[in-house]
Formats: sequence, C-alpha cells, structure tokens
Amino acid sequence: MNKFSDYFPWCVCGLVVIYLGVIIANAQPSQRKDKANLDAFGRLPAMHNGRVIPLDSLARTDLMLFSGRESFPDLEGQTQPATKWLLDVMSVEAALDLSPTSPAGKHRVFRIKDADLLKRLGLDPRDGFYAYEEFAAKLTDVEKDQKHGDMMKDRSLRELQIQVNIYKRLASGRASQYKVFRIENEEVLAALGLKARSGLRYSIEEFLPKVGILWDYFTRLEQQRVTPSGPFDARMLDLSRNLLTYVEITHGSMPQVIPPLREGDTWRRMAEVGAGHPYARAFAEILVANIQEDAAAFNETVQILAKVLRERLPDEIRRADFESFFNHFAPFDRSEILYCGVFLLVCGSFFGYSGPLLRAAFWLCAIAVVIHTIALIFRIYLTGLPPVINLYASAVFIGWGAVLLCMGLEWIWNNGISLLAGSLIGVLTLIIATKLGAGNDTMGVLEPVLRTRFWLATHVTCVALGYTATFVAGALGIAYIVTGVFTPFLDDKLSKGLAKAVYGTICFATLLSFTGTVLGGIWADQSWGRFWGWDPKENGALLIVLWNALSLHARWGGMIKQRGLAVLAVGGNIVTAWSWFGVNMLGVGLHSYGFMEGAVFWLLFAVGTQLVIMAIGLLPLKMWRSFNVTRAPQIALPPPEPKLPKDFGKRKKGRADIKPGPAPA
Amino acid sequence: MSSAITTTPPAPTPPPAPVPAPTPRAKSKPLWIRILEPVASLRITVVLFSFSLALVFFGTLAQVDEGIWFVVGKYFRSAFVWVPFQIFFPRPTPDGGGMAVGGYFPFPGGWLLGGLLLANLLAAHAIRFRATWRDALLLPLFVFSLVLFVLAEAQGSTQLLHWVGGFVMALVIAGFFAWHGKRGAILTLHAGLIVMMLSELITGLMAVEGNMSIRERGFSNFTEDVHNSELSFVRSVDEKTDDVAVVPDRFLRTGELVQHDALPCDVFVNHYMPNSHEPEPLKADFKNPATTGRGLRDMVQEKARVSGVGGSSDVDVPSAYLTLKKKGSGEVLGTYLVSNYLPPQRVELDGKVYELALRPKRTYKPYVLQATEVRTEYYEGTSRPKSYSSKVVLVDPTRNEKREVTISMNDPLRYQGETFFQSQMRGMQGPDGQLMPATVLQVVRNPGWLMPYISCIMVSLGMIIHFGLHLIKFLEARGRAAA
Repeated sequence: MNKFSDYFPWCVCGLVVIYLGVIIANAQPSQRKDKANLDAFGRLPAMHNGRVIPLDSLARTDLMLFSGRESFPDLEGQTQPATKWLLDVMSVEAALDLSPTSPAGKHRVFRIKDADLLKRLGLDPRDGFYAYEEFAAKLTDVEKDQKHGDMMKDRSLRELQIQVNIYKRLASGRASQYKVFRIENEEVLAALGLKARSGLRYSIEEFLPKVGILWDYFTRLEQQRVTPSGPFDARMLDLSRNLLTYVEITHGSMPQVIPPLREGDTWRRMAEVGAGHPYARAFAEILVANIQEDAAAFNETVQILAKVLRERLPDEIRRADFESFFNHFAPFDRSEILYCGVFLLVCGSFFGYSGPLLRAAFWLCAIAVVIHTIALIFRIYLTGLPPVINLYASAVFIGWGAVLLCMGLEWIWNNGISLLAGSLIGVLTLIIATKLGAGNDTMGVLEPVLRTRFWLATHVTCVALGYTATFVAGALGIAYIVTGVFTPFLDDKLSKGLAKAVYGTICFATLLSFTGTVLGGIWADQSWGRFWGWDPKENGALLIVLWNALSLHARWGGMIKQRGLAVLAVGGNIVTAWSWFGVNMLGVGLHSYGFMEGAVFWLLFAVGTQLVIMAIGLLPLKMWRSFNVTRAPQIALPPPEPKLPKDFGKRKKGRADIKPGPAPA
Repeated sequence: MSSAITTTPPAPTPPPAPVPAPTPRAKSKPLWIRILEPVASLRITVVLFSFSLALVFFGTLAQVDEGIWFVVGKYFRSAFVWVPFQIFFPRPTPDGGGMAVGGYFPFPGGWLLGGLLLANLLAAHAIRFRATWRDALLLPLFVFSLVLFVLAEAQGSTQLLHWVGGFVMALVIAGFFAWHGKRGAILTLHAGLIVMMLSELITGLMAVEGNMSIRERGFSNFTEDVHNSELSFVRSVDEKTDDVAVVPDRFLRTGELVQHDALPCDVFVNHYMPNSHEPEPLKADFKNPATTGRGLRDMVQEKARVSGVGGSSDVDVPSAYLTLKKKGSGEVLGTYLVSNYLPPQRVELDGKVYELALRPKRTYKPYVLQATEVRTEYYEGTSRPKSYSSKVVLVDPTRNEKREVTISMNDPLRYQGETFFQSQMRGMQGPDGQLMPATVLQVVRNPGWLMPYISCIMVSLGMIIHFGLHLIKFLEARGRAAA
C-alpha cells in the first residue's frame, strides 16, 4: 500500500469538511450594505398557517409551489433568491397601477353579465369580455352613485370591482414580469395563449390578456368546489389557486407579518391593521424603499425592525433565525450530495484500490450521517416535536435510519455492499423527501389528535424504523441477487454474510414493525377506543409485519434458504412501499389528477423494478454468473450440523439451516 | 425451493445424518402426535401467512368502494368472503374512465384464517416445543389471567383485578423461562400473539361503540350508534317520563309493512334510503310520495353508500318515506318523510301526540353527563383546530357518583367499563334555537381493551430476548473468528 492510498480517505474527508465550511459560512447572516440586504429581510418573522416562520421559508415554499424551484431569474436574467421574489410580490400593493391607456387596460378580460350594469357603464351587451379602457371612466361614476344607493342591490358591480381589484394586482409591479409560473399542461398553455418553451415557466404579464377565463375558477376556489372534472380542469384550478395566493400576498392578507404589539395580542395581517400601526408603517417603508430601489433606506429600516423585534420576541426571532440558517444550509441536500459521493466511491472500489476507496467511503458516509443527524435535530428543535410528523419527515428519517443501520452492517462485514445499499437508500429517500416537501411547509402544524409527543416518539418512530429495516433488508436482497446473477463475486463467504445480514435485518424489522404497529393500535385505543379498525393505513402496517413473519418462518421451516430469503426481502420493499405511499393514493385514486398522478406512476414503477429483480432472483442457478464460476471449488462440503439436538425427531429439520455451526474460517 | 449453495453439491451426502436415530421413536409415536404433526407444520404457517397477507390486501382495496364497517364484517370478521374482481381494476367513472369488471372469487375470511393460525400455533407448541406436564399447569393460569382482565372490564374497571391478572401472567411468563430456558422467549412471544388474536375476537363479538353529543351547558343520558338507525315514536307521559317505541332500521326495507303491539300504528315503508343527500326544497319534477308533514316542503334523494377510504368521519345518513296506517283497519294516516337529517315531527295518533323521527340508534344510560365547557383551540390566525377538550360532570344516581372531569384528545375518561373519548366538535341547537358548540364523545365498552397492551408487552419482550440472544451469539462467534 503506497502512501497516497493511506492518505486518500483523509483527503476526501478534508475536502468535504472544507466544502461544508464554505456552505455554512455562506449561510450566515449577510452584512452587505451596498445592495438591498435580502437576507436580512428574509429573516424577518411572520405567522403563517399557525406557526412563526422567517419570510425566507414562505418565499421558498411558495416559489417552489409555483415554479418548482427556490430561485428565479430576474428581469436581467440574473438568478435571484426566493426572498427577492416574495419582496417584490409584497411590494405590488405599493405600486398598484392600472390605467385605461396602459397595455393592461386594453386586454379584454372582464366579465360583465348584468344588463343594467352594462347600461350604466355604457357598454353594449356582447359575448365575451370587456377591457378596462372601455368602462374605466364610467366605473368611477357608477361607484359614486352606488355610495348613495342600496349597497346590497348591485351584486354584479361588486363582482366587477373584485375582478378589477384582482386584475390590478396581477398587472402591477415588477413581480408580474417574473417568469415563475410553471405551466405544463398543453391545453392550459393553449387556453392562456402561451407557447410551450423550455422550462415552461411564464410570467403573469404573458398570460394577462387571457386572465378572463380564470374568473370561474376563482369563484370555485372561493366556494371550495374544488373537485376537478379532468386533468385540464385540475391544472387550471392549480394555477388559479397559485394566482390567488399571489394576490393575497400582494394584498397583505398573507402572511401575518404584524407581530403582537403587547402581551396577549395575536399576529395580524397588513391588510387588517391601519397604516398608523408602527410595525405596519415600518413594513410599508421597506416595501416602498424596495420599489424605489433605495438600498440604504431599505437596509436601515429592515435593521431597525429586526432589532425592535429581537427585543420584543426573542424566542420567535431566534427560531426564525435558525430556520433561515437551516434553509440556507439545506443540510438534507448536503447529505444527499455526500451520499452520492459515497455511492460512487464504493462503486469505484469494486474495480480496484478497494481498501482506500472503501475507507474513504465509510468516513465520508460518517460525515454525511452527522450532517443528516444535525438536520434532524434542527427539525426537532424547530418543531418541538419528535422527528417524524408527516410524510416528508418520514422520508428523511427513514433515510437516516437506513444509512446508520447499513454503516453498522458495514462495520461487521466490511465488504462495501452494505455501504452501497445504505448510500443508495439515503439518496433515494432524500430525493423522495424533496419531492414530498416541494411547495409544502414541511414543519407545518399538526391536527389535534396528532399533537402528542409521546405517541409520535414511540409509535411513529418505531414504525418508521420498521420501514427502514425492511428497506435495508430489501436493498441487501437486491445486492445478493444482482451480485450473484451478474457478477462472479458472490462466493460462499459473501453469500453467507449477506444472507445473515438480511436475516438479522428482517428479525430487527419484525420486532420494530410489530411493536410499532401495536403501539399504533394502543394509541388508537387511547384516542378513540378502538385498538384495531382495519383501516388502510393500519392494514399497510400489518402487511409489513405479516410479510416479515412469513419470510422468517419460511426460513426456519427450511422452505427457503439464502437465495429465497434474498428474494423475499426484495418483496418486502414492495410491501413497505405500498404501506408507505400506496395506501395514501388509494382514496384519491378516483379524483386526483394532481401530484399523486405522478406519484402513482413512480410507485408502480418502483414495484415493477422490484418484481423484475425478484424474477431475476428466481432464475435457475445455471444462469447465475457466480455459481457457474465458483461451483466446483466452493462446495467443499457444508460443515455438517455439529451438535445435533438430542431430540432431533421432535424438532423442525429446517432449524439446522439457520445456524450452520461455526462459520468456516 | 433451492438455495444458492447447499443445493449445488453433487450431493453424495444424504440429508443430514441422524435419520436412523429417530426411527424407532417414530414408530412409537402416539396417534395424537401423528395427527398433530401435519397441522403443526411450518409450511402451513407460511401458507396461512400468505393467505392473511392477501386477505388484508383485498380488504384494503375493497375500502375504495365500501364503508370500513362493511368491509370489516365481510372480510375480517367472517369465515368466507366473496371477493369481487372489480377491486383490482380502476373503478368505472361517470366520464367513461376505468373498467367495469364482474365476477367474484371465494376466499377464506379473517376468522377462519385466524382460527387456523391459532390451531397451527397450538399444535406446533404441543409438538415442537416439548410441552410437558408442567405446561399443563401454565395453561389454566394463562386462561385465568385473561379471564381476570376481561372480567375486570365487564365489571367496570377494577384496579385490583388488573394487578392480579398481571401478576398471574407474569407467573406464566416466568414459568416459560424457568422450564424452557431460552425457548421461553418464543413461548412468551407466541402466547402474546394468542392474546392478540383473542382480543380481536372479543372485540369483534363484544365491543359496543356509541356517540354522545352534548351541547355546552346541556346534558345527555344516551349514546347514539351512527351506524344503525331506528324509527322512533316518542310520547311524553309526564315531565320526567317519555314513552318510547322504536323500530330498528333492519326492519325498514322498501315495501315492508311493520306491525307490532308496542307501536301506536302500522308502518308501511314506501322507500328506505340507507344513505341520502341533505334535504332540499321540493322541485317541480320530483314525484313526491309524501302527503303530509315535512315531506311537503322538502325532498330527500338517495345517495351511494360511503366508502372506507374517504375518511372515517363520513357515515351513511338514512332517510325514508313511510306511510302510517291505523292498526287493524289499515286506514292510511299519511305518508311522511323521515330522515336522520330532520328533527322529530309531531304526529297525532288516536288523539295522542307522538314525535316521529328517524334517528341514530339510542342506548339509554343510568348516568347523566353534563357539559360545562366545550373548547376548541385554533392555531393562531387560522381556522385549523389545535385541540379539543370538554369539561363534563358525570352524575350517576345509582352509584352516588358525581365528579367533574376534563376529557381531551388522547386523554379519555374511564368509568364503569365504559370509556369516553373526545371525538369531535359540532354545532347543536340550544334551547332557544340558537346554534351552540357541542362536544361529541365516543363511548366505548370493550371488555377486551386491555388485552392488546398485554400482548404488546409479551410479544415485544419475547422478540427482544429471542433476537437478542441470536445477536449476542452471532457477535460472540464473530469475536471468536476475528480472534
């Protein structure tokens, strides 16, 4: 072994630590003075959906929801953070601008049905829409008349005013020119008069002329008639929902940025408080400074506001600060990248330099797990709850558990395969988590029945670890099959080692999933008096327990041996994936044309791949490369069971298979 | 099934050696062993597990179409089930999607599979785990312990019985370990599973659930079963007493004539709807069967029954059009619309005033619950509920009991074998007709409720010890190999 290979693992780890150091340094609060300090603005707290978050978090989730990214290109084409987008959307209110002569005033987008109103506005009844320029002048008069008249009488005027209000907000400000609305559906593109182009992201300005077709959808959303009648309808509803969120932000009715003035107050919306409110005034100043691009004023006001808040609400601010740091650092993304590195290093080790590469991979994995662990602790601190509180959290937790478990197995067997499996599960679960988290608040508040630390910490954690162990067993099963069928490396020793690892992991999985499932039943008994209700989620958990028990009993009964166990372990992946996701898709299968459509595809795809692997695992041994090559020398003779129990006749023959005496040295 | 390694040798070695040894014993095997041996086979265990897996899976898929209660009865608490092929295919939708598939296939139900698994397990223990005369001592103790637990609940929770039951069970477990060594772990584990299966059986047979809705500052002395309804004739006899006659919903089938001495009249069922839409003002094109009462103003139309996956909060709301007929003469007194959606209607029969209603099945209790405070907390600035809690006063004149308790989510009240859980909040009409907040308590009587707790402890303990011993042995072997 030469010197370089001794140092190699250290080099890798050193580089990674430097990389992480740079990221962390960048995630620190920025102190820039020359330009608007967006970072400081992003750290301001707000109440949103029941919890205090930094504006940065809201910006990221909403921009992610709209465009599928956490950053966007500004008008000069430069990439900007989500906070900038949120700031500009919030600033729209201060830059409202709709004149009959502007281009926006010429778009025929307003729907007026009422004959009386049309007459008063001096319009001729016609099919289709009216432009603002056609009735703008008269509208003011009509509104004036209305003030003296019967307010309730004219619903159609109110409707028109709402339309004008929404339209004004959509048409004004810089934010309307940002290309951040991702529209994938071709029919929707056609309906909005857009052409498909790379990225499929469009600005409001581009489809402003066609906004008229959205009024129906806005009405439906308001009345909560949101069951889509088809894919087109679903996509239109999605877009309309996003646009309404946009309008709400411009209007200051979301999020609640005005902190409680004194003890006992609640957080309030900009739209709720008068301009005289001290915080509202400061906030308005920030927005105006943003529009006027007055960086100095902007920074100063943000700084003063932040300082005042820090004194008023130290806890909330500390959390918001922390969350903002968490957003910038994005530790789950970092570990995902590192797991990719581990995967590549292990793959490389199969082709040579296996010692140093494996050692480097192991320690890199250790660093990645540390980051992953810290991220989980961050989440626990921020939510004040145990790690698994929703589907997203379950994904990051399962990934974490799987990597740890695999590192333990790697420590024992030291053959790279466990590490390969672990890093793969780590990457996959983190990708799944990213998909699940996109556009959602991953630390959102919980329903009343879920607000119990005890059961979240016991039942949910236990079940998630059960999933974890089942997935690890499945991954090792895949490794067994793939190594055996496609490579000559699955020799007696490796085969036995892998089979033992699979067996032990399934035992672990059985224990955890059984205990977790029963604890869930006990929770149910505590909260509604029914230990077991046979509902889909419970059934899913039961399936995992049954599957694992089946695998173990088949093994004990001698019905399967190493290969059979590997194949069944792969089947465990299917059962677990079903329990994790399939059950959730069951209910919405009929009416969902949204996210779940893609998710169903991926679930079926995953199940398909596992079935293929199982089929491969069932190929006759003749077709396994490993056994073709190694048959003769390997089968020296399996050591006969050395100490047969005295009462052999009473016991099951198969039991001899599990413990084939002392391992051959 | 073949294995990777052990099948490949040219195999001059016959299956492991000691075939000759047990032969003489095999001849002398008593008959019961020879009968039990195939029953105890692990193969059967694995086959039963596969069937159970399939059944649970089918039972989950079936919940797309049918209510959870219906599925539980049909698939899990039954001996056989006819499974429709349709559950494996996308359901037909109004806009032409999906596939309509007909036909059914038979499959063993939950109770049959559970029973077989139990038989398999018991046989395995009788044969493979070297049961001795001493175990015959443990069996009655085991049963005794379970009886104590169930009894404790049937009699109203008694702490003493719990402790005695727990102590006896601990004795049994100690016996397992004392007389079977390491195998005690598996025995404990499997005994725990038996407890679990029995608990499901007891729950299936004996558990009773009901809802009690109490508006703030109001009280209630009955529970309602939202899964069953009844047609009620209530006559107020004096201030304290009502005269109540009810017809359970299973008799209310379209076209049926219901007659009974206790009823003030005969009831002909024109149209019974197991689930229905909310009442709406009468439309012109609706062929209205009603000739009197609320049915002259409103109409109700039938709706598909709810399915299991839509959230367990959805329940069927039945309605019916009924014709009341004079007893004996059969003279028609009028056709009424009754519905779980609608309040009782006044009906005059033979000069007496009755309140006629279709309502969830009621069970009257010897105690009264009074809600002093009903609270829903919301997350700040949202309409998302954060927690529910109800302060109630329980008054039981039969036992001279009066206590005030707060019931909240995950924190129920247990009283006399019944448990009161905070279920949900709703609005209810107060005495002056205004809407008031009301709490809905789920009231459950399940004599087997403690058994899963015991089972969980036993199985987890058994598994931890069993697998733990495996692991220790394995690590020791590795340590030796490394050294």
